[in-house]
Amino acid sequence: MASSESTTTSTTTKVLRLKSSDNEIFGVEEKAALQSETIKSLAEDGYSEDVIPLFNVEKKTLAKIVEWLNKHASGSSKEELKRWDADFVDVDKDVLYDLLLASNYLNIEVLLHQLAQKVADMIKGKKPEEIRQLFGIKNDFTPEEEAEIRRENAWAFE
Amino acid sequence: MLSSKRTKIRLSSCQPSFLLSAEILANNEDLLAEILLRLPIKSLLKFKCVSKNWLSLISNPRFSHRRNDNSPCCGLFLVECGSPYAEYQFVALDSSHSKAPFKHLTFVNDPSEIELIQSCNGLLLCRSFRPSGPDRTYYVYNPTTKQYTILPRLRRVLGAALAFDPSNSPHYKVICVRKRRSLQHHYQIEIYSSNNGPWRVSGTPFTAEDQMVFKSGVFCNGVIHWLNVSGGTLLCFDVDGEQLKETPMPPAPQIDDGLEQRQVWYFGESQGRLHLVELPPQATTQLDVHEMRADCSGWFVKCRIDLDAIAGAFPEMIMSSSPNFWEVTSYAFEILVFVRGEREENSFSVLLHIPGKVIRYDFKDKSSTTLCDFNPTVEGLDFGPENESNFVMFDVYQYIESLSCV
Repeated sequence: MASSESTTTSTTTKVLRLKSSDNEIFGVEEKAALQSETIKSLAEDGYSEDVIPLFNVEKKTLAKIVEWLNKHASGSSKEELKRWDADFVDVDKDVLYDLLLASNYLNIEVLLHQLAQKVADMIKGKKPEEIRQLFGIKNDFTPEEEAEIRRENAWAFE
Repeated sequence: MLSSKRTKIRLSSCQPSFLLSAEILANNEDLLAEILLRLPIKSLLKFKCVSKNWLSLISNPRFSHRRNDNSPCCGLFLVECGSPYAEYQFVALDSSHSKAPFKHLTFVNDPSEIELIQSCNGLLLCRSFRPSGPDRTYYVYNPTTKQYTILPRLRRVLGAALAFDPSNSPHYKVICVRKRRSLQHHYQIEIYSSNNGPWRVSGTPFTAEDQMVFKSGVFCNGVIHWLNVSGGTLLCFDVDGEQLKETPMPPAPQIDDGLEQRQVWYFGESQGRLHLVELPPQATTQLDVHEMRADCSGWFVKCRIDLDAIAGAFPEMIMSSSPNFWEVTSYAFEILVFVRGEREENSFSVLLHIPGKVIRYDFKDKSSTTLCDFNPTVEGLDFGPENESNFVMFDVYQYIESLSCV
């Protein structure tokens, strides 16, 4: 106990340790990590000295997220960040979905909005059948019901 | 041993490893909504037939309200004054809505022509014209989704107004003023509600002057306003409270030579504020823009349009011939709509139609900039580019994208 008191308030920045669901540990500077509201509240709950477990994020996704957190805490210029973000979200759709779920779980609003926009841009010109395929959705309409919706919104299908 | 050690249940065998991220995503309604909110309306309408879940999410009034919230006025429908069945001109106010939603109101197979009488937060109130009889059919039309509804027929309707505020309720009301059969100048208000159905009488009959313009009202902050062309007072109807009351007009301008009929040049709503511009009784280069106080108790001069400053930047609006019906100004121009800045409360501008152009005039620094070229196609007039001598005035209706049901 005495020893912990004697620890000087370090001038070096504090590093939080984040653990992925598959037990990989990532060290992230506190300033970067706290962009995630989830990590912030876990840190406030006393996890900060220990490892912060992130049960819903696999290491390959967490690595990407950590990359984003670091970049967005690095003080890059607005233009530089914009370019970097465009490259960052330019990934395969499965990676994109994983990142979106992770940013939702970690509650990183800015990233969530960027990713949602990316998915929206990706799907906006698609046909309903293609959407079902992209998201693994089962068509639960009867052919009559589907025809009715198509008829009501006929102009949108032109 | 003291307590039976809780067995850690391992679910690995039943964990749905086949459940891909895509499916988790598609089943997370909050996340899905975040994506769908960023889609164009056309995609949303198409995606209604993806699945029942997507249909219910996209049709949900809360979702359409969130989606509509991001859509300010994105265009204007203009139709030549006095020719309500002419072709509608469309002025896009942002680049993503450059295509006109319609040129003629042919959404329904009505044997008569249909005219537009009011635009209200994304929905349009239209009516048919029947030269052979007094009864018109009223329609509520959503130009974004192309859906419409036919209101139940009512006789002796002088005018109607749409009251729709999606931030308050997903339902709309139509308020109509009917003439009483036997008594002159006696009127009755009736209300139709998209929620509760057919017309019902509201309040007791009332009397009003001849000059009351009931054809179209203006809806602003829960209140319908009707203009009285002879000046004096406005009539307004609080839609939820079903109260009719009079509000004063702005003070009459100083008139040099006797009494003249006051002429209102612009009377309209924009982003929750009611504005009125009167044609001044004598030559002027400054036009007062009156804004109604939030409690409808009266008006104040919000700002002035400096016509000389605008004409300095756009000399094409200077009339070369001696002014005729423009007696009070020697400039050809028309007020289209007022625009308040979304963030800065004091940013305020007006869109004006001048020969061949739509321009934006900023009140703060009195600057004017071209918004777009405007070359209307007007039937019966075969002119080239619009200029000050063939300048056409239009009735203006706002186009606001909306997913709201009619």
